[in-house]
Amino acid sequence: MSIQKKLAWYFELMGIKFRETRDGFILYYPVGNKEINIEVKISEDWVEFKWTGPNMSTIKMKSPDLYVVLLETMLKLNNIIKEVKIGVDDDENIVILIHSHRDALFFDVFESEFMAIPIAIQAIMEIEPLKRMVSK
Amino acid sequence: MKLDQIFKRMERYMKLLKKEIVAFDKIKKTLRVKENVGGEEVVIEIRISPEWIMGLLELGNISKYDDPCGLLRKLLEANFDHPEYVYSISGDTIYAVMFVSVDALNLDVFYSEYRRLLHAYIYFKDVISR
Repeated sequence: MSIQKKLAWYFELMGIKFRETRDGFILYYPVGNKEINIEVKISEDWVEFKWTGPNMSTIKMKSPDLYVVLLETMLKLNNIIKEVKIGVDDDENIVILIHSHRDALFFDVFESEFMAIPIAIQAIMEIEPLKRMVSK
Repeated sequence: MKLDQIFKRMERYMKLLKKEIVAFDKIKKTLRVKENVGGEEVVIEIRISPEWIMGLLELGNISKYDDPCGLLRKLLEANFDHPEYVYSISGDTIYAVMFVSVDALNLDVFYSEYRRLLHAYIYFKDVISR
C-alpha cells in the first residue's frame, strides 16, 4: 500500500476530514470550538504534520520580555508533550510539528502522535501573552 | 511492558551497540551512557517509564550566552527546520531530546532516535551556539 493510501485510510479510521494536495493532505480537525487545519507533507523519508499557530511578531516588537517568556515556555513544553515538537518558522509563526519516519509509521503510533496535536495547541493557547493576543 | 523488561531490553540494546553504561539506577528509572562526539566526551541520560523512553543530552546553560533570546529563537527555529532534532530547555539547561514510545520500541527505532541526539549535539555546537 502506498504511503498516501495508508495515511488516507488512517484518517478515515479516525474520522478525520481531509483533502489531498500536491505534497500530501490538508486535515480539518476540531479543537475546542474551532476547526484547525493541519498540513501533511510527504517527503522521501518523512511524513510531516504541521499546524501553524499565532504569529509572534507583534509581541516581539511591543514586548521583548514577554517574547522571551514565550520562547522559554515553548522550549519547556518540548520536554513535557512527547509526541510533538514545538518550533518557530522564519516568519515568527508558532508551529507544532510531528516528523514521522515513513518506515516507522504504523496506525497505533500515528494515532498517539496525532492526538497530541490538539493537546499541544491547547497548551500553547494557555500561555498568557498569546491568550490575550488571540482573544483581542 | 513492565519496567524491568524495558530495562533489560535497554541493557541488551546498549550491549549490542557497544555502548558503555556508566550509571544504572532502577529507583530513579534512569541509565547513563558515555559517548564520544567529535572527540568530546558526553553523557546521554536515558529515562524510562512504562510508556516512554526519553533520551537527554545536555548542551549547556542559557545564562552563559550573551544573547539568550537569540539562542532560544535559534533552538525553536532548528526544531522547525530539522525533522531529526528536538531541542528543549529545563530551568537554565539546554537539551537535545528524543522520545520513543514503548509501544514502538525496537532496536532500529531506538538507535535511529539515539543517533539523532549526537547529530543534534554537533549541530548545536557548530551552528546554533555560534
